[in-house]
Amino acid sequence: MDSMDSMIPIASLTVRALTRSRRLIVVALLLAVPALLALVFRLSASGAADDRFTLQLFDLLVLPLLLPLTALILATSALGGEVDDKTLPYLTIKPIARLSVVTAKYVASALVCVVLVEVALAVMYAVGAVGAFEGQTLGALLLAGLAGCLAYTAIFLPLGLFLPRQGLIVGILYVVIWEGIAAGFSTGLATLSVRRYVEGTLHLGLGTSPLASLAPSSLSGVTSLLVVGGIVLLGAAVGTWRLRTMEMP
Amino acid sequence: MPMSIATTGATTTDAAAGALVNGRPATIEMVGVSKWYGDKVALSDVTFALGPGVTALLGANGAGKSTTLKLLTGQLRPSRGEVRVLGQPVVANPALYRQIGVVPEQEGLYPFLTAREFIELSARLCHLPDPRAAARAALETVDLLDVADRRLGGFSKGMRQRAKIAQALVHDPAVLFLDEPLSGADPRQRLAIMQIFSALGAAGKTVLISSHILYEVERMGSNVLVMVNGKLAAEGDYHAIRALMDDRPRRVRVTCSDARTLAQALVVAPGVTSVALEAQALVAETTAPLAFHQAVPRAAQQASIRLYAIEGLDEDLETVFRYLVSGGQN
Repeated sequence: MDSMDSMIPIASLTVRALTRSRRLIVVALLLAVPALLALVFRLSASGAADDRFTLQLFDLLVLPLLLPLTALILATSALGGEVDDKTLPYLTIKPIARLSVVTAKYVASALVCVVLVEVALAVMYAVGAVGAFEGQTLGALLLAGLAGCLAYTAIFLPLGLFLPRQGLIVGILYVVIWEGIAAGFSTGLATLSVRRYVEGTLHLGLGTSPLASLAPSSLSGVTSLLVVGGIVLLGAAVGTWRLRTMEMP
Repeated sequence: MPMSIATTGATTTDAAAGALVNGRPATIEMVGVSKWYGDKVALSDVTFALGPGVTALLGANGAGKSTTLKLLTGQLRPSRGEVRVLGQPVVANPALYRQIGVVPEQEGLYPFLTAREFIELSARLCHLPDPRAAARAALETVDLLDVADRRLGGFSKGMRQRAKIAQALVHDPAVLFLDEPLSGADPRQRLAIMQIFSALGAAGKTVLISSHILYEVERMGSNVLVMVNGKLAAEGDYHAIRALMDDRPRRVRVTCSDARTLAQALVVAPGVTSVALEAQALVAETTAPLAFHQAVPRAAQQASIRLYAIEGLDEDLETVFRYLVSGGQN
């Protein structure tokens, strides 16, 4: 019964909603920060093109904070916004499996997140490392950005269904306290953070590059990718379960 | 405790599974359904079965109308009891939605979509072979074709209501659930929409409409379910319920250019028991409302008085409820 025929309109609707939302302005401002910092770096005393700086910028600012916040702002709005705006019945009182609704919502919000984050990373790299261009570094950043968007979107999409109004606040606390602070303190806690696995994909992308030592990871790239895939499947399963069982007060 | 009054009508209810309505399987059925949130009971042991035709679900705000409709459309799960539509359970049964159209109570719409895009979205989600043609037909039905390419965000409340109705009709469902579908519509639109519902009922669709305005209900059909405080207080033919109230006079307010002169003319009209004057209106009590409604324009014409409004002050459901709750003692 279900097919792409029903998922494409929902995904398209979601992309339109997200790209017209005021949240997009907030996200754009957040994602402009790395490029601005890279520019400040280039204009500073050292001024030399250096892709190590962009890598550190990614590891210390984008990965623990800006990327999850971007995914949070977009993903909680994708389904949570429909609950809050009371438009969800127009999708759920239709002959469509809940899994298809969640999948379409996931694809749309992950797509918007990926496009924004990848553009921001590319601009950051272009500003900070132009003249010292290293395709592998840029590729690694983009791969890690992609993995981060997919994983964080999968976590925050169901959060919007559980907490349509408070999801953003709870998500910010999670990002700052867990992904930003706690995961940096202990290896054990890091195992339970998404950040660690995104770092694994960054390391995978850097391969044998001398810069790989700047993004150390005890995980193999394949393991990281598998965990990211597992997070995506788990997110879809939780979201579908929630959508099946939740009531519309 | 509200008094339950069963009236004679097309609806017969059998608590056993597979109730029959006029000898045919019920299309909508609730059996012993209760819904509660913690200590708060929203719906209490409601049982009814409906067949094709228009049925009005009546009740004051908070009576349980929206809860009933949400239970019937799977948006809520019953705390106890069974809900079936077209003989099938509603909860976790997306396939059933191909045969159901719903106008939700909520005002929310996608403000960035045009009306056409909104209805086409609905058509696509219902897997219709030609969503554009279906959307066009639905928009035409609710008289929105001229503004089909305008964004919903710029629509008036009445236009948004019609867009919601169009998305519920677009896949030609067998059963329609409409929660206050006429709110915000102007009188001309209300009339047109009521005619649509009446036609759908006459065509064999099952149409359940929640409303709190008896006047509208009268125009769409005679079968009603009356909710009071989360319970089914009355079920059956509307006229039978109204007939229970015929022992008490109705109050009617007439706003006109010369209330005093009109009052003098109406005080001798058949059935009028009293007439009181207000600033630019008169309030009459009559035991023969039909004759009174005929007498007013005749008297106004004879005295060259301009009529601005005639409103029945006892037409709201509160009056019916007071009657039902008190067992006819008021």
